Amino acid sequence: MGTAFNNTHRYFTQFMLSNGIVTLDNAMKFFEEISPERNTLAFLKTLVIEINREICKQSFKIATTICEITGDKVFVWLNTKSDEVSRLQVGFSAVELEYFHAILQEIVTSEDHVIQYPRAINIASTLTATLSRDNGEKALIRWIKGGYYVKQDERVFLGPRTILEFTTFLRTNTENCSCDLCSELVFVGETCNSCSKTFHKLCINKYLQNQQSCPSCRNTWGDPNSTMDVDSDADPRPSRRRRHN
Amino acid sequence: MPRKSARAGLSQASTSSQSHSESRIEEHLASSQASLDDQVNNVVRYIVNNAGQNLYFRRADIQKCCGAKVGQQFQQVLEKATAILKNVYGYNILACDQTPSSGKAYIVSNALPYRNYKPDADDIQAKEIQKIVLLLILTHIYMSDGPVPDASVYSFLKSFGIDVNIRHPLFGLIKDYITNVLIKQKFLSLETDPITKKSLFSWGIRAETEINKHELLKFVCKVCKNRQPKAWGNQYKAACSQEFKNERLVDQNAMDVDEE
Repeated sequence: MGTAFNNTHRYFTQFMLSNGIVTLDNAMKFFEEISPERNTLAFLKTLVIEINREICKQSFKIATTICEITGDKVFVWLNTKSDEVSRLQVGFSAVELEYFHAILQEIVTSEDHVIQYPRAINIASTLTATLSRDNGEKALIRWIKGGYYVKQDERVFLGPRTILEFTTFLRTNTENCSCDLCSELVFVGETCNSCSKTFHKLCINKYLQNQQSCPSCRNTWGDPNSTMDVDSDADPRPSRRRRHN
Repeated sequence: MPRKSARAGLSQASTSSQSHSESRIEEHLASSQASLDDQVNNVVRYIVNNAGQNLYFRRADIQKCCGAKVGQQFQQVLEKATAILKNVYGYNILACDQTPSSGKAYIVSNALPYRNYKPDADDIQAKEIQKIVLLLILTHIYMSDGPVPDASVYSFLKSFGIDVNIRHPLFGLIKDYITNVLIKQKFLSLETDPITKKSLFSWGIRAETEINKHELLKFVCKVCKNRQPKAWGNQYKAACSQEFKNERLVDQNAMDVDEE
């Protein structure tokens, strides 16, 4: 084994395991508790790297990402392998897992990648097995707590944990959901008025500090008038003005 | 000339086949080592994924998830998995001998000293409040110095105004809680006395390893005001010989319990 593990590693591992998703702030608060002498973000990042070196042997990972909806920087506990062993997970019944996937499908295929909360509850009644709306809601609340879905203003979005844990599935089953600036999946972000490409809020804001144009189509960013019409006289080809998701 | 080269060819062939079989043995060893590691990692994953439920793991279930046959191999796998679980995740794997199906079973217990970390003061869940009931039952059994009939436990709770047969405003359905949670999670153990046919409660294996009898004794002293732990000879002895695996940080306030 690489670094010798001490209780600080173990406490943080258990902390991540039981919470599933933790904002950077809360993680720092906990870290200051368990490691009062070395409690800066740099030490925490090193700790996470050391932990990951060990837990990757069991296909686990602590990843960092930014929630598309809240903008929070978060740590996420990931199961990087989906197989018999992880499917033997106790905690969710088969119908609840079906419910999870049904919600996932509906969000991914919807325009703007969001569904209404009441609609999410109703999905429980559409499954092949029986799931009461009550039990469905209880499961959904657990998933929201675990970072799989995000609820904001009575709307349900994909949570950071789902985006990371289901990356392969999502890439295969979606089109145009990639942020050109960082190559990661994006479901909720800022869209170009001209070419309809979506970017992460953070990515595009950083980019726009030095540029004023869309990274993809090069038209002025945020200018609704900069459509292909200006060029249509010179360019007889039909313009792609259609907004697609 | 042909002979020489033939001989050379022969000896070459035999050396290469010898080294070929050597490397095959090495390969075989390497792959069985790899598959041993795979099995160990599968067992660790299975337990980490399910530990949060506080249930017990049947030996058969663990074997299923790693594909090992019974015997030497599995023992090795289990030992290595136990070591990783302790070292990386801070979990103790404890064997319990008595299960209804008479198969060997294991429970996961936290190896790390308890930390009273509560970032949100009002985030106290119903589950934690219910633990007060557990505390009272364990104390009663402990102070009674042996297994206790269920009737005795229920009347003890009644003396605190807790009726196990009705839904309590704070603790919910207590009989349910005792059967479905406390016994299942091995905090309590329920056995039938062969002679009297009575149901007897005693400390479950999880309670023995996770709950410090010294602290319980201190709690009783607080309640009885001014008595010293050593005043209870048997209990004090039991506390000293407890195979307690969970080192507590010094936190006196954590044991404050309000009684109605």
